[in-house]
Amino acid sequence: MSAIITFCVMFAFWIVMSGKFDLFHLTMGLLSSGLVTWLSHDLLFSGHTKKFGGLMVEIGRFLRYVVWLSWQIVIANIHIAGLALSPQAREIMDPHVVSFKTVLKTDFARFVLANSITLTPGTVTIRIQDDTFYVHAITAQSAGDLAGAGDGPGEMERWVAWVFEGGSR
Amino acid sequence: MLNAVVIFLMVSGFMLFFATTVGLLRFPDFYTRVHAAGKGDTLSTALLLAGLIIYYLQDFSGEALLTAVKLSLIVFFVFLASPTATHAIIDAGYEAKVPYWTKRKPSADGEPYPGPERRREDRQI
Amino acid sequence: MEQFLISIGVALLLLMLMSLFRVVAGPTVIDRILGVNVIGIKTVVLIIIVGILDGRVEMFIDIALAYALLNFITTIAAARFYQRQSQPAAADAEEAKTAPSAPPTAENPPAGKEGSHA
Repeated sequence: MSAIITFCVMFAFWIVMSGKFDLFHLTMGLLSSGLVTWLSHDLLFSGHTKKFGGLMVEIGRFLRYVVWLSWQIVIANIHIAGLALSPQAREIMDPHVVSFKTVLKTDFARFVLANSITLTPGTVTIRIQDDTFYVHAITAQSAGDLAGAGDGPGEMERWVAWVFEGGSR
Repeated sequence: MLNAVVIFLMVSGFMLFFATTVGLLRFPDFYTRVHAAGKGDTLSTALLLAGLIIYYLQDFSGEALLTAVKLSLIVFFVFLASPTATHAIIDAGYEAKVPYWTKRKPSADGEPYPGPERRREDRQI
Repeated sequence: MEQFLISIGVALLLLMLMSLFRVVAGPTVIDRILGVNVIGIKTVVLIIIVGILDGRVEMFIDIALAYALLNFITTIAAARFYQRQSQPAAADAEEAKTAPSAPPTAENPPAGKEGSHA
């Protein structure tokens, strides 16, 4: 299953990159994407043993997550630009490190969560160690957004858990 | 009409990059500079490239469409690669104990950093 | 419209020169890597602007894509190399056994790093 998806991604990439549709170039594309798939089919989608339907649901949810994330990215950029251009930047800033335990199980979900944290307002992931995320927050408010209410996972973590591991949002 | 959209996208991307550069130059320590660089890069690059894509697609053809797809691939790649590179950089800096700047006092409840004057200067870089 | 693209390109170049100050002056090596990364990402945009002005985007786009990939890999490699080099060899062997060091707390300074003054 993962081999087929890898092959399709590789071949689409070949077509976009070459831009030629004659027999010679397509055959070369088939051969080379087949070779790459044979060598590395367990790299790109490792740990994905789901059926095709489940994958489609996951992709649909992921697209909705991307829409939400894009809005967060815009907010993050306005936030950091305002902070950089404001005259009292050093008074507003309150850099510190927060850590929290994650509920996510798979590596890919953690990767997505870490990249999302880096892209959203005022937080950068430093490292993931065992189950704990270490996050550098630039203002006190941004750290508060991350942790969510009480001890439960924050809004973003609930989104990622909903996308990749089912469950409620 | 389309030119107005292009100019708007590219000027806003440029303003974001300007703010990124100002942040990179005036923020007090390495970690806050990573904040400025890691966030400003992604959206400003995406906005600038989106403006260029629209400008390029004005005289439409099959080849232009292929080039536009390639440009969108660059945007996608930047969105994937920039947070990863940011993470690699800040992790390396954290491991190397780069001095930091904070206003917080040391506290008993697991606050990782001591106060602002006591920097971890056990290793000069 | 070409005037606008040229002015955006020149302004980007000026901002990249400003970022170069962080590369030259940056107090630590890792600051320099950060500045180089920022300059590299904007170079991709600059290459495409040059390509559009030149009327040969389909050639410049491949250069830009390769440059973006190369910039990413260079940044990762430089950061990892610097991280490896900044750890003393003795602590390295010790850390291989235990998990990577947790962020130190105020009362609990990081163990096994005392020999790192050299």
